[in-house]
Amino acid sequence: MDVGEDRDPVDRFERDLKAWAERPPRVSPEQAGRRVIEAARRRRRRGLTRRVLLAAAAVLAVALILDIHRDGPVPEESPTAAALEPRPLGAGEVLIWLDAETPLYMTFEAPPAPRGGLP
Amino acid sequence: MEETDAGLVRLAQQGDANAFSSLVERHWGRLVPFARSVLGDAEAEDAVQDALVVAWGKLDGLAEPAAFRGWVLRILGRLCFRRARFRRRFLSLAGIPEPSDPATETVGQAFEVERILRRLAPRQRAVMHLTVVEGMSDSEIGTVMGIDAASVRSHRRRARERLRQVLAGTSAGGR
Repeated sequence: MDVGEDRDPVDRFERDLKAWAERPPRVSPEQAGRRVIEAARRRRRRGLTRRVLLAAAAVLAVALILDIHRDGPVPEESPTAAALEPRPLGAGEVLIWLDAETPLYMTFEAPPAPRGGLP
Repeated sequence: MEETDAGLVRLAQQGDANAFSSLVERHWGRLVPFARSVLGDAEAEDAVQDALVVAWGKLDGLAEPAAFRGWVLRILGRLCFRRARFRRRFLSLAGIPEPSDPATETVGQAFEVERILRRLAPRQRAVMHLTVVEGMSDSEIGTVMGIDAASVRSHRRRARERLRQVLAGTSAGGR
């Protein structure tokens, strides 16, 4: 072994690194082989289940969309429809529609009666 | 007669799980040290298992069956870097388990090596491992890591500078 190499801390570290990294793994190669295959099968099953669920969700979504389009949009009942029925007008009352949903009732008062006789 | 990597890969590509299992057995002992250098002892074997599961799923895409080892190392490297990034982002250093299994280690030394390695960036650790432990050339390392040979040299130079600083601090009694 080169003595100069020994003196360099980086070279010494590199030798330690090699020894440290090359220790045998805790799991033996045979066990590892079995584990990897089992894990791959588990993952494949999970992937398959996920794909089936996704496909089912997609089919359901398409069916819902088609169903909605076939029936056409449901007309929404205006919450104020009842309130918009014009009530009978009283004496001197006038109804003006500002727009389709905005009635304006106006009441005209009768002119006051003349007081006293002619000057 | 023992089957070559290429032969086993071809069998595995046809769905032969035993062939893939044989590939795992053959390469396990060289993949774990790489993950150990990049991620540390605690996570290494899990990471290699995950990488091999990914490799099994992607095996059909391996055009050159003889290049299996480099291809798996590349998958493992990417996975290790991703894990290291996740760890740096979401876990404090205190949350990382210390080197374990003291009964089977010459502890002080193993602990020291791992502690010092953690002072390097994950890519620097990978380059150091592939250089020192695997004895790969710069271009081989570049292929595994998806970078060019000049970047490999740059990572290694910076890693060694950093090591020199850290080791000087260690021998002076600091961290």
